[in-house]
Amino acid sequence: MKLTRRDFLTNLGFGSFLVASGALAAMLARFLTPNVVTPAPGPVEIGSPDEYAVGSLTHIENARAYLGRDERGFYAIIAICTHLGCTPRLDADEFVCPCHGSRFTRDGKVISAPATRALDRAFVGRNANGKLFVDRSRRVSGDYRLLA
Amino acid sequence: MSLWRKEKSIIYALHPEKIPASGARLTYTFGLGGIAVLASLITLLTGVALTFYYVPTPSDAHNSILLIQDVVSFGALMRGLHYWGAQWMVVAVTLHLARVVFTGGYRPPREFNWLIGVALLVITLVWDFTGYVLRWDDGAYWAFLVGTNLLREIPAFGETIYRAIVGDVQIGANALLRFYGWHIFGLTVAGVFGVVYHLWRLRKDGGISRPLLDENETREFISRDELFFREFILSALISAALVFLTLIFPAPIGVVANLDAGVTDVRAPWIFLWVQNLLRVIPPLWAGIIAPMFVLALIIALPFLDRRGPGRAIWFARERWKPQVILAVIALVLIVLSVVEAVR
Ligand code: HEM
Ligand code: FES
Repeated sequence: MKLTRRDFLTNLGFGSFLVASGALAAMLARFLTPNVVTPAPGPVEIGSPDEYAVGSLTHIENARAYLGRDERGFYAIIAICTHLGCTPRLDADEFVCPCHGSRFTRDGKVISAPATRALDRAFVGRNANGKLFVDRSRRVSGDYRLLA
Repeated sequence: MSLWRKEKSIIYALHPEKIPASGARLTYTFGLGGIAVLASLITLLTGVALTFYYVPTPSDAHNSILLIQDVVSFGALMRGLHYWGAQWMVVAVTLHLARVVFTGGYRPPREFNWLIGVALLVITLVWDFTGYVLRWDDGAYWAFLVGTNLLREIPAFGETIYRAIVGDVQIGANALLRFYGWHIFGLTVAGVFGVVYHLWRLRKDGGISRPLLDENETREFISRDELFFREFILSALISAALVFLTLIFPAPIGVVANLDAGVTDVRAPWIFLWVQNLLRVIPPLWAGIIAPMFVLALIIALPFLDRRGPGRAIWFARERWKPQVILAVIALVLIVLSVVEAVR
C-alpha cells in the first residue's frame, strides 16, 4: 500500500493530537495529586499520671483517643474505627461504631463485624515536666504500656 | 418592528416542527426526561445564587449555610429549591431510566443515547453527593469520611486514587475545596454538556420512540405550538409543586461535624442507604466498590440484551422481558436494602 503525502500528513495530525491529549491527561492526573499534605497529628499533652486511676478509660479531647490505665501502666486506644474510619463511642463497657455497627471491647478487640481488626494503639509518653502525652502518629502494639 | 417573532424564537429552534402524538402522550413518557431537564435548570440557577454566600472552608461552611437559611432574604427558599430540585432530579432521572426500559425506548438506533443517559445518571448521583458534602454538618461529614475511605479499599491504586480525589491524606480543607470545585464547576460543565448532547442525539435518532403502525393506521402528530404548550403547563405545575414542597419542608441541616465526639447514629444520604446496609454485612471492597460497579455494568448492558423484534415502544411488552426483569430485580433489591437500613 502506498502512503500518499496527504494520508501521511493526516495521520501525523491525528497522531500528534492523540499524543498531546494523552500527555495532557497524564499531567492533569498528576496535577490533581497533591505535593503537600496535612502533617500527621503531633503529641497531645494530657495532664499528670495521677489524674488517671487504675482501671479507668478516659476520653481525650482533640486526640481522637482514649487513655487507659491498668496494673501494668498507661495505654491509648485510637478512636478510629478499623472498618472505614468513623469515631466509635464508649457505650457502657464497649466501643460502638455509629456507621455500620462494629463493636469492640474496652481493650479495642473486635466483638462484632464488620470491623475485623482491633482498634489501633497510640504511643503514650511522659515529657520533661512529668506530664503524659499521647502521640497518634506513632502506632504501638497492644502490649505497649507506659510504666506508671 | 417587533422584538418577538415566533418563528425566530429560541423555542422554535429547540423544538421540531411536529412530533408523533404517541411520543408526546403523558402516559408514554410521563414527561420524566423533561422533568429532569426542568429540575436541573432550577437546581443550576438557585445554585448560582447560593455561591454568593456559601464559603467552602471547614470553619465557615456550616455557618454560611445557617446564614443563607436564617438571615439572607429568600435564602431559605433558594436553598430549599436547590435541595428539592436536586432530589427531584435524582428521582426523575431514575424513573426516566425505568420508563425507557419498560417501554423499550433503548432499541436501536437509540442505544447510544442510552449510554449518554447512563453517564448522566452517574453525573447526577455524584453531583448530589458532592453537594451533600458541602453542608459540612454531622451527617455529611461521616458520609464523606466513609465514602472517601472506601476508595482506599481499591487494590493497588487505592491510595493514589484517594489522593487524586481528596487532595490530601485525610478529609479537611483541601477536600472540601475540591468537592466544591467539582460540584459547582466540573460536574456542572459535564452535566450541561451531557444534557445538551442527550437532547441533540434524541433529535438525530428521530425523536422519542414510537410503536410500529398497522397497515391501515396513519400516524398522528402534534404541532410545535401544542408541544410547547404542554411543556409549559407541566413545567408550571412542577415548579409550583417544588415551591410548596420547599415551604413545607425546609432543606435539612444538622449540627456542625465533630470528629472527636462519637455520635450515636450515622445515616448515609438516602440514595446510598443500600450501600450503608451492605457495608454492615460484606467486606468494604465488595459492598462499596464492586457491588455499585456491578449494578452500573448491568444497567449499561440492558439494551444489548434485547435489540430487535416486536414490542417496540409499548409499555411492558412481553417480548422484551429480559431487560425488564433484570431492572425490576435490581430495583427490588436496592429498595429492600434501603428500606431495611432506613428503619433500623
Ligand atoms: C440528567 C439526566 C437526563 C435528562 C435531563 C434526560 C432527558 C431526556 C428527555 C427530555 C428525553 C425525551 C423523552 C422523555 O422525556 O422521556 C429523553 C429520552 C431518552 N433518554 Fe434521557 N435524560 C436523562 C437521563 C437518562 C438516563 C439515566 C437514561 C438511561 C440510562 C436515559 C436514556 C434515554 C433514552 C434511551 C431516551 C430515548 C427514549 C425514547 O425515545 O423512548 N436518559 N431523555
Ligand atoms: S466505620 Fe465503623 S463500622 Fe464501618
